[in-house]
Amino acid sequence: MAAPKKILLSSPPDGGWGWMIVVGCFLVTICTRAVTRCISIFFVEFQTYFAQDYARTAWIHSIADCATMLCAPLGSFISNHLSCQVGIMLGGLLASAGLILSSFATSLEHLYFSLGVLTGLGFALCYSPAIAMVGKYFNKKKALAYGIAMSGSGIGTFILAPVVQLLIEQFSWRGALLILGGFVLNLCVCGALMRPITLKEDHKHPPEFLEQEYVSEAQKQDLKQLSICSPLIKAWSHEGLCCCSWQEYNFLLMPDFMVLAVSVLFMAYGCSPLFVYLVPYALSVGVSHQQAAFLMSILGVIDIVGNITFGWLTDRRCLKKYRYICYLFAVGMDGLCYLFLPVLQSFPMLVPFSFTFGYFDGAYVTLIPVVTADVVGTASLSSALGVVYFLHALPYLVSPPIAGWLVDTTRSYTASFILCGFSMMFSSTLLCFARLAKKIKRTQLRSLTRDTDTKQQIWTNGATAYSVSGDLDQKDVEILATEANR
Amino acid sequence: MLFQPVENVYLQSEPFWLWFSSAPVEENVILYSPANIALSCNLTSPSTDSATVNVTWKKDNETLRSSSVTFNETKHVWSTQYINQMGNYTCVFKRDQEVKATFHLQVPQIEGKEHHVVSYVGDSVVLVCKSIKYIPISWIWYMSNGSDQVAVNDSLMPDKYTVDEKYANITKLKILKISEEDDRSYWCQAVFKLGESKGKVSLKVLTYMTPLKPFLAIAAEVIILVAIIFLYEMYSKKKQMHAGTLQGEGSNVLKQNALIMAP
Repeated sequence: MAAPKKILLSSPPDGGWGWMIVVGCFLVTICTRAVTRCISIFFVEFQTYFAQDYARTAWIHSIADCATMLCAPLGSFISNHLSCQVGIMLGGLLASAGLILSSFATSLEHLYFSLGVLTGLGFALCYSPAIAMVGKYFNKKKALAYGIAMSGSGIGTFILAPVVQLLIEQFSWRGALLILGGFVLNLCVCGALMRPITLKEDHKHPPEFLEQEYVSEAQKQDLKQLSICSPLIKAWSHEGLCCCSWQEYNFLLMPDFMVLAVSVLFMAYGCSPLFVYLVPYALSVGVSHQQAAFLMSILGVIDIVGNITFGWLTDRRCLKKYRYICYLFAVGMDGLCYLFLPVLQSFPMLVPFSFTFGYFDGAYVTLIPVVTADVVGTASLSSALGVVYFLHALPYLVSPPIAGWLVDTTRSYTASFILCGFSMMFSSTLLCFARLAKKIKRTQLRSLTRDTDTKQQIWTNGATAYSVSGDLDQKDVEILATEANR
Repeated sequence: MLFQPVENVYLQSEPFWLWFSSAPVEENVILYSPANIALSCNLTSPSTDSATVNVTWKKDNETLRSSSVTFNETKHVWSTQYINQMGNYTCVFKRDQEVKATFHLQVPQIEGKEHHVVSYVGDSVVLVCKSIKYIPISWIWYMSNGSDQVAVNDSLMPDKYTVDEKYANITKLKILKISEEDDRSYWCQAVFKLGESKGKVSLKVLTYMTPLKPFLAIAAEVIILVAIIFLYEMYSKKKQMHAGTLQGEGSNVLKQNALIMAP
């Protein structure tokens, strides 16, 4: 009797080793998002040392952010086909190598490559697989788990910013980059924590099914029927791999996902310039350096509070159905805050702004993986997250320079902030209209079926099908099975 | 207080409001270029008696002039002194008590850097001095040699020192091929029409071993943690497999029986 290599679980554990995964993801968020934000602290040093102006130095941050998001699908691909542990450890080694190389930089272009591309690529290999892993281990407490895991970026920025400043004062930027490279090596520790888990609803992992020698024949048939890759299980050839990979990205054609993708584009365009331009804007209206730094700290701390409280709130049974609406509400509120920002011209007025913006920023960041999971299902979550973060890349790259160009030409921050505000509000209203359109369509269909008495099939989640009216009888099951096998 | 360089016009300072019980008042007046300035002191008294008050103006403890003034109807005593030189000017009002106010006239101060600038052996470093509001005529750099200050000659040693003066209010001293001897203090002196002021920047030179030690400590910690986590994973997998084998055997027996029994 051959011993089973992996044990299939029927539902996510919602605890146990899952909490270690949350800790691991928390550390991954600190080492990736917080370190990327702290790179801007080095800019003054780079400007002085390399005798370059702010615009050329700011490209390092844009390139790093863009590379992290652009290569996110690569990260999901590697973790799906090799293993999450290998993917994250590889990413950690790459990012650490990038930072260590940067400490020996002799020119700004050298930094574009090592600190921008290499480190960004390393972070990309870690970020989305870690988040997808949390989604696999949790179901009922998903949003809370995500909240805790993603609060790493806020807590990390809050702790790392003064630490990096201290390192620069003690060791100059070269030594600080070397030590930061060592700190980022801890991503390998996080990678080691990500023990793989396979769930029964994971139809997209045929190799696991082959190892299930103790699964009965009847069960195997059922699973084969509903598995989209079923005709290819026997021929586990190279063609099968490519075809399966295309099937993995099936969700790209879902209208729900396409709407989410477009809204993410606009949302990412709107949210990035604030972290770059809040401090210069505050200084331009007469706030002192310490008070401006305090505004950034408030943003960071309230970000964490928003992460965890919104995560806990949307896990409550009453709000679970309305997670989508909570997400678009948070994005809309951030857009509204932006529109008010040009009117706030003093420190006592900017503090409540930081509170509100920080809270809703933390809120929607927590809900991105949750909303994506609701749209595409847990099976394709890793790949879908890769695509969603990939869509963040281009806006992150172009938005701060465009905002900077607007500031230079109009000589005030009003135009750029209003543009970002409208971008975020558009993203929110797009989701709102999509949801309304879906509801109208559903009520229309329902009235149609009541009139004509035909059984309709409505697909949700891409992997499981529900029938709208009547009970599911044997004939319907066969219809569904053949549709799935197509 | 800043006075714009306008000639033949007497610029009025903000008057100091004093009364006999107040503590001595002091103010820094920054003078950028030669100007004629009127310094005013105003004494207020609550009592209605029309007493005479002695007003004395001093420059650096030398008396410039002295006079007696009586309180007018509005119970104020004004006194104005016209000057055009740097120094510390004091107006003193005396009746039974004495009260005074001091104006410190000085050139703009240059701020250096509080913390030392850190750099490494063989690397290069840029020391920066800024004068934000006022533009000096020129800058001179000095370095400390024991207890003296020696001028930094960038034309004599061009491959060691370079002074960059792209903007008139910022000066940058670039030191190349740093060695342990460059671990000292540097002064940037800004020359204004009315005088000079200095700012201090100190340089600290480290070797590459200094940041390497914390890095190696963190790398060792990472390796140890990864090893512990993988060992724990192998151990718990063995435990699971052991428990799973027992369970698996049991369930297989059950299923075999079920297949036999099914038609």
